Amino acid sequence: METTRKSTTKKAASSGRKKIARAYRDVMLKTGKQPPSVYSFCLDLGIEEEAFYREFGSFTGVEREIWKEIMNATIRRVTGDKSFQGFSAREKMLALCYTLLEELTRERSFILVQLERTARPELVPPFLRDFRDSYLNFTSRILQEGQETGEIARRPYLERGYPRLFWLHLVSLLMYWKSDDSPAFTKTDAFVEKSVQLAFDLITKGVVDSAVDLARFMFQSRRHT
Amino acid sequence: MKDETENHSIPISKVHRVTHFLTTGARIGRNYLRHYGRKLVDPEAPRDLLHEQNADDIYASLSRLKGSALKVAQMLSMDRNLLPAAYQEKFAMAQYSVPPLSYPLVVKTFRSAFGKGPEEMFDTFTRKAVNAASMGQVHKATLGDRTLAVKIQYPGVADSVKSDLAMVRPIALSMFHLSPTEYDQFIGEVEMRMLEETDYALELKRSIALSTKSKAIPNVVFPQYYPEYSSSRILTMDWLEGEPLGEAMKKDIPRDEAMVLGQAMWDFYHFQMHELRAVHADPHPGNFIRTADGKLGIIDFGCVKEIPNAFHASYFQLLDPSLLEDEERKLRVFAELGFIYPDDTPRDRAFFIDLFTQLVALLGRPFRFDTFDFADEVYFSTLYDFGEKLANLKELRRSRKPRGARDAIYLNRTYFGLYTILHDLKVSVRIKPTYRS
Repeated sequence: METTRKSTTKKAASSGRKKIARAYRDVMLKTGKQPPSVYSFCLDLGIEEEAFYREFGSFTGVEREIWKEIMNATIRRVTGDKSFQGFSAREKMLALCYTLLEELTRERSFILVQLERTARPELVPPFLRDFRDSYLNFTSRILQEGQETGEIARRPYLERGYPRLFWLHLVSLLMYWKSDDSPAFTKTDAFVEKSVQLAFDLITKGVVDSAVDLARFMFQSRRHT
Repeated sequence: MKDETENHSIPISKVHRVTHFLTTGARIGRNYLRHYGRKLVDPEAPRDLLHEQNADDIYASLSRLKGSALKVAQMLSMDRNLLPAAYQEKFAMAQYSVPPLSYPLVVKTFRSAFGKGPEEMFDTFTRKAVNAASMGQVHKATLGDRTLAVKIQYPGVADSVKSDLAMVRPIALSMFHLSPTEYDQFIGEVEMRMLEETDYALELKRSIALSTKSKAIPNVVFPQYYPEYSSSRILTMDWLEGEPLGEAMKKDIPRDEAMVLGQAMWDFYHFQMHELRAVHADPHPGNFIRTADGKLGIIDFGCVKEIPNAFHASYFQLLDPSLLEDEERKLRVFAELGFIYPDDTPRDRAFFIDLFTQLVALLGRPFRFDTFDFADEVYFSTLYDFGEKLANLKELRRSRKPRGARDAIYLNRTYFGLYTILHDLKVSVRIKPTYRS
């Protein structure tokens, strides 16, 4: 295949993806449920079924795309910000959450419809998979940078569990925001503020490390005597 | 068991005070437990006993607070409003102990109000807060040759005020034998003021109005306010150079300068009470600044009490020296202000007339002079003793009617705060104002 052709088809394809995603969103918002079939969806949209399957395998694939785009837009905005690089890991995490909330708020109606249909988002239903992966990728980068600057404590075994904890935090944030009825979601802001502060108080060098250090010392000194 | 004579130790820091209220809360809980325990054994266990225990615990606790908390509490206890005052103070303290907002949240607050971050709006902007404010924090910014103070409110404050006040209600009702209507009347006033404090748009409007109208008063300065950089949760004003009056008073202010500050403050309040009929109702040393050139800087118009005209007429008759000589007029004013009621028993009536006559004579004393020396220790210790006596009066606590008008709550508090600051400044002031209206 020639390179020039490839790029044009790709471009056309990505606009096709967007079009399908937008149309799907509209249907979900208007009816509150998935279209009855890909066939009827394509008929309403005026495209061939084939064109749909070229982009997505199923409706879930479309949902996945919409969620992924929310996260990616967030990350693009955050990393594009001038002051972001100068932030501490804690502030980066806060900035990420607040920006994500702004992006989520744009799509709030769609997200509410989706979350209503999901009993336990923490188990990562298929549509949340890319959303989660992209989030965890980015947060692990923040954590790593934090460890390099010494802001976040190195805890060889414990830190393997961090990604899971951060994911659970994000889910709890989503659920809180879902049922938040305060104007401009200021309560969710407070929730982010307090929960991220707590999380970072836990993973920065502090009580836990001193306790482990003392325990290790006691254990070792007893062995020697 | 607890030692009831705890009057000598004075908790100093706010932290102490907060833990103090917490232990009081715990003790009240314990009293309830004891009460219900007794009730299991003896279903007729008198509820009065419980009230006595609770009230005693609160008073014991409050009497250890010699700061503004106690003064406010004493002032409000005139109409049995002690408990809400205590809780109000507790809320205030709880708000102080909120950790500062993170910079990303500050940025978000700006973005949702103006669509851009603070660093795009100002030339410089401190990432960390330079000061705590009631319900928010203050950042310092510069724009061109101006230095600005930018106040940012904590998210969700308005909601927490409502839920905190709702929490107090059942406790207050059962503890002080208040009827729900009475309580609602009082708490309605407090809630309204506290909610107003969370509305920065209103504060901006009032700040501009009050500071423009009060310009005529000598030696008082106001910051300029910037509506274009303010929103419902952000308030931008000029940064007043100087130091907070509370700080300044810890050191020694030269006597002539203190006199200037004291007189400026007296005039400012006189002007608001009588000309503007709207009062900066939070005379706390932290809300005033002693500027570099020795003037009185006034910030924070969060708590403003507007005085209805009819109420103004009755209330200020109390400060008229001739009132107490004219028995008939005195009784009329007392009735208007809700000190006495037509259906009081003769014994109650006599008691309250006597009590409020003493109170008015005492509080109104400065108004009977051309110049009054607020440094007078004797006067102030009599005043505090009387407040303490009031707080312990069973008749007052048991009275089923509110004693004193709703509109007076914040005015009393204002005068008390004003007296206290003038006392701390150790100045005498000319009672007749020096400004020309």
